[in-house]
Amino acid sequence: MLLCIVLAVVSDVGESLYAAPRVRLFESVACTRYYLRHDPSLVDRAGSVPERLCKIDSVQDKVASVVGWQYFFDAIPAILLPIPYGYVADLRGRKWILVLALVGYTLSWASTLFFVRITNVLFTI
Amino acid sequence: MILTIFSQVGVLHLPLNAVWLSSLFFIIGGGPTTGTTLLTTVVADVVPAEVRSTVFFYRFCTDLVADLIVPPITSILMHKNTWIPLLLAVAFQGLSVIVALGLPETLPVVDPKRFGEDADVISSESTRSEQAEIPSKSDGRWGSWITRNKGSFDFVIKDRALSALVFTFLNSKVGRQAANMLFQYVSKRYGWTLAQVSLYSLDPLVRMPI
Repeated sequence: MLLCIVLAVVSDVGESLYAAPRVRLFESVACTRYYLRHDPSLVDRAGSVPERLCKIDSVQDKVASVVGWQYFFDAIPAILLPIPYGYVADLRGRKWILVLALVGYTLSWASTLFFVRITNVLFTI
Repeated sequence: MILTIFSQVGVLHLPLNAVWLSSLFFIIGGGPTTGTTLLTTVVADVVPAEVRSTVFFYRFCTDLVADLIVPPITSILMHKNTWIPLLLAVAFQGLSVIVALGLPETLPVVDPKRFGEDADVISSESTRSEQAEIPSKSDGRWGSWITRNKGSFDFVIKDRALSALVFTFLNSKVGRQAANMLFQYVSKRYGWTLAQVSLYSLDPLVRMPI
């Protein structure tokens, strides 16, 4: 029981840590990309642009569309898969399905960072 | 391998959109939906029926505590470097996998005595759905799988209180998504940095006492 609560806390801490920085991360990438095209002098040598310059429509539109579609794509497996996985969990046990779900969740975050990292590197080259 | 991914992302000319591929990983285990649901199920398995709602409140209150304490910390970390909270988040999620490995298996053993008990509870609560709710666990064929699922859908639709409850969940989910979008909006509207916005998200403070 206590372990359940611990699990919930740890996972939620992760979630809260992730939400805002992810938006900032997408924003910084979209922003750098925009200024490389329009005014490269504002991009510093590390490939970043001051955040206040990023609050312009074309950058924000890009971020909103990336985040919005991300929710859309996230929702597809979230709608389809709980039914079979729930069935298996009722049949074979909850623990391993729970572990599997958390592994998938972790990997999806890690891969997001991985993709953005690559994107960043590509920009600075 | 890294090199091939490099060149592919470059060829596609859609670099930032590549993050959408991360959704593919939800195929493993079904993502956060399955995660939360199963965690709640485990709690329901362990806790006796009389105190279940109390314990459920505790379980979701922990969410709110995390929502309350962590954003300011995120804010501080973001001021230093955006990557620190992001990598920490992944580390915490990895940690949760390890904690989950430590959980005992809570699938109730099918024994006839408890079965009868459960059926009694259901029939006293709702009059129509007791037929559908008795699962045939030993029967693993495809046809029975469909009838079983249809049974659980009927269970939700026929009972009006339950439908209302499910609809409430839908609403609160929409609210949460909107809150996520709010980060971006507030930041643009008032010219705050995203780190500042994270600091001021105080809505759990209002919800927790409730």
